Amino acid sequence: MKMIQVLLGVGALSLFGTVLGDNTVHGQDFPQTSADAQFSITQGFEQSSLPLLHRMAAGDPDAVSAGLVEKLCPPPCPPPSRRNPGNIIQVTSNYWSLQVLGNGTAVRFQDLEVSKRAHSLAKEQSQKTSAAALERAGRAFIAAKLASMIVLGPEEELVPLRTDYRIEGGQNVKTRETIRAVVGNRIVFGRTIHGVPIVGGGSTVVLTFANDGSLESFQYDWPKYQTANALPIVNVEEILDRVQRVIGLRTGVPTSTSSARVPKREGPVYAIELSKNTLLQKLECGYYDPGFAAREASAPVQPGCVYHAVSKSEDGSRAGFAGAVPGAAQVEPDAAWEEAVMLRGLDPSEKPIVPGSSRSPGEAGNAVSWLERVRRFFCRRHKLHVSGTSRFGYFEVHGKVG
Amino acid sequence: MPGIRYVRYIVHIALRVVVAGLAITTVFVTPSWAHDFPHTPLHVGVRCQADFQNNWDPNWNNYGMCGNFIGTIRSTEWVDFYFNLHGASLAFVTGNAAETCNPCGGADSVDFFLIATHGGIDPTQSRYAMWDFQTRAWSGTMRFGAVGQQLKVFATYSCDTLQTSDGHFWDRMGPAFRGGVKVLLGAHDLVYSGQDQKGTEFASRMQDGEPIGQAWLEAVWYADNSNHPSASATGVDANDCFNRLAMNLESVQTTLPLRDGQIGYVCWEGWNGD
Repeated sequence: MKMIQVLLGVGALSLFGTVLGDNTVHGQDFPQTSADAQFSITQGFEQSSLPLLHRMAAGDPDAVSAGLVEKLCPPPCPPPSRRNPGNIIQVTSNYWSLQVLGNGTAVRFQDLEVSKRAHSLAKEQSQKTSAAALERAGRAFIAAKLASMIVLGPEEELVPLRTDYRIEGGQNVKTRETIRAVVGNRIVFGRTIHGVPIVGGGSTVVLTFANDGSLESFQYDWPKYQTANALPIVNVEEILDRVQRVIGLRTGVPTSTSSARVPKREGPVYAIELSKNTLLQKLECGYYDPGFAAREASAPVQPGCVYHAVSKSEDGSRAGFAGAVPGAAQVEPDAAWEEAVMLRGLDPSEKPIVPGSSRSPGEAGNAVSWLERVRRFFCRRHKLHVSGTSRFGYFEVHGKVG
Repeated sequence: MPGIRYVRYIVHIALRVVVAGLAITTVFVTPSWAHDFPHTPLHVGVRCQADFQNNWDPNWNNYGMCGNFIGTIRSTEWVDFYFNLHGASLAFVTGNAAETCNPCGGADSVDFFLIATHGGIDPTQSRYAMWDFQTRAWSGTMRFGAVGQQLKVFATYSCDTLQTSDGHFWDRMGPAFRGGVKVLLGAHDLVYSGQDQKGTEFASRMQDGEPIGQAWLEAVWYADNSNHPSASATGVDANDCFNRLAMNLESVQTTLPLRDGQIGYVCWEGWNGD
């Protein structure tokens, strides 16, 4: 969006002045995030009890959409188009797109022009924007453009969690010459309530900047929280035991006979073995809120610990497992929280569709020919139909879902 | 009264034809309200595997993601099949009859293929776990996009298979690319199961007209910031390659494929490293 470039370009460029010599291009946690994770894996929660939270909308979605358009594209802004597909408000122009989800707590914005030119602004990895510069640029943007949406309640804080970088690479397939460059710089902010972090992806503001300091995109999930009754919290041994049980159920591999061992408080954090060939990499305890799109709207936000575990097969193949276990002694019902359902010993209310089996070429035989004929007949018709229109069709010929 | 019987018979048949016609119309033409990015629908195939014979690999349940992807993408594309990976290795092997066979779930029987399973790498090949004991599909035997429906996009929710940091990416994925497939999506390091909404978001972003690679990178990264998504393409040269990496659901069908000696460059983009 041109307006944003003009408004933010100069200011943000000055904020982007500091570039660290660090060559790491992997995403990196801020020191406090790492410290919180270390505390979680060694001690679990600091508190002996925590209240449940209820997510509330900050305003109605139309007002959120109108407020953001006014801030992001002030007059004389060409009138954008607005649509309401499903539970989304979608506002677009030729240069940008804005989506407001559901009750207005989740928003996604992208500047299409900045995205397009990001490649031409590629920089060497050593010149990636530093975490400190990203934090300054992010806070400046939030203050200038999102202040009416990213509102903090009493004893709440906006905290930087993590940086990440979009890397481009390429190789001449004849000479094998390879290049790599940074094309996007991203920062994730989160929220703490009375010092307790929200974990799981909800309550975040994610901003992405191109290398010239222009804002390329942002996405946030930012409800108001209302506190309810407090629940006693379990100790770290019980939390690790829950993670171990859940991983056992998810992998289908029996858990280790011994309980997962809590690392020493003083020592460096090491990975904990949860089952054979499966290690716990990271644990982050706080209020577990996976964000509007991933949660059951009516369920309360409960204390919980997000885990990342990885299994490694004998041939070196790896698989990652992520999720969260409840942190309270008593687990409240939440149909969308897989682990909460598992640990309460219930069957999930919504089971995913399981794929069917394919045929072999021999079995397919004659069936292929007439089904293929039908399929192609309708495909031809369909393609003629959609020329110049946006109405599409769907038909499952084989392997019907379910 | 044979005459009346005959008329009744004709009317009955005519009614059946009309009813059948209405049913077909209902099934075949589902309107799409949610997206207005006009494009010719692609044929999509999905194969996902959560459990493995005799637990030769640990369960890795991504059926939620696959189901969400199908539930969204089918409003604009043709979902030809949703299969598991039982006996599936031949569906990825160049020259095998299964590769172009649609009821067999063959890779080159559709335009767009998504699989979710365990992945891994050797110095010269990427491997994808099948359900069958110790059986894998190997990238060295893949040549996508040359025959059948000519696969355009091959997306794999699997760890490591698009790793580039060791300098062997082209050794591993070159055979697949040389058939003319235009976009490969996957991961250059770990990806985590859980957060099934990424299936919905990936499909939805593409339906909004976003570049396919960008839709993948954003959907997978936002689902879990620790994921390592990657997207790759080929080109005549570097400039051409990065332009082709921005193909969307329409341009991926209209852009000419590059095969064998036409390919001069391979390029990729990823979050959390590359």
